[in-house]
Amino acid sequence: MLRDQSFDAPIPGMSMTAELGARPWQSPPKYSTVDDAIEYYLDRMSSEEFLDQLTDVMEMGVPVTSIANTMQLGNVMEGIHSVDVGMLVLPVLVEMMMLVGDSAGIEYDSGLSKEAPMNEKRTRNTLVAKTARKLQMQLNEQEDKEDKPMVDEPIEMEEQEEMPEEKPKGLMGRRK
Amino acid sequence: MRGFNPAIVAHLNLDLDKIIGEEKTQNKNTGLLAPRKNMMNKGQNKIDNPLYRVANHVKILRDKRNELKDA
Repeated sequence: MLRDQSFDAPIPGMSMTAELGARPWQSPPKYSTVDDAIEYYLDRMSSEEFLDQLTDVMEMGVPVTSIANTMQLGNVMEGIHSVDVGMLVLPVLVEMMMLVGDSAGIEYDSGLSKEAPMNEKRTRNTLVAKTARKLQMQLNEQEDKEDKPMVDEPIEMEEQEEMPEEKPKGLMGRRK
Repeated sequence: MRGFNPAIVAHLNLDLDKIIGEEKTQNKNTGLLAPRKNMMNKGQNKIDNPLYRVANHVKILRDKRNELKDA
């Protein structure tokens, strides 16, 4: 197994197989200053979709520092900003994510303490809760779908049996 | 034991009080031959320092977080 894994590493000189500047991190970054990079991150982090995903990941017990580091590393690789700007931006990202976690009212692991406060059981409970929530949402959707046709379809009126006309029986009744 | 994560180091080493600090009050010499500019800080402004700007951002976010905790 160990021998197989060693072949996954890049071979010496592999970095020179692509033309210089062909990789995103070899060209000038899109945002060269800290302020531009912070603005870029804050814009991205303010979207509803991102916030939902972030709270889910934080709730599962992934440390905030790990998420922040992964984010900035990914953007360095994509040529969004340079490595040094990424390092400077890191505290802002961590603080921003902790603010998101606090405002969402979830329990999260900041990753700054030496002990990992969220144990395995807690993570499993969160996963179970998340799956239950998803199932509930699916059930609600199905119920909505079942309810909708009842409203959309024209209500068919039951054919009423024609009542036989009562013939006037009195003396003054019309005789045709 | 967690692997090396620069986010932890960067966050823990960001001493806001030290970086932002208080504005130093300069003792103005009123003499005619007194230097008008402080030559030590010549051409250097705090706002030009990226770390200072980052610390300001962090301070705003941290204050907001503390407000949430207190409420």
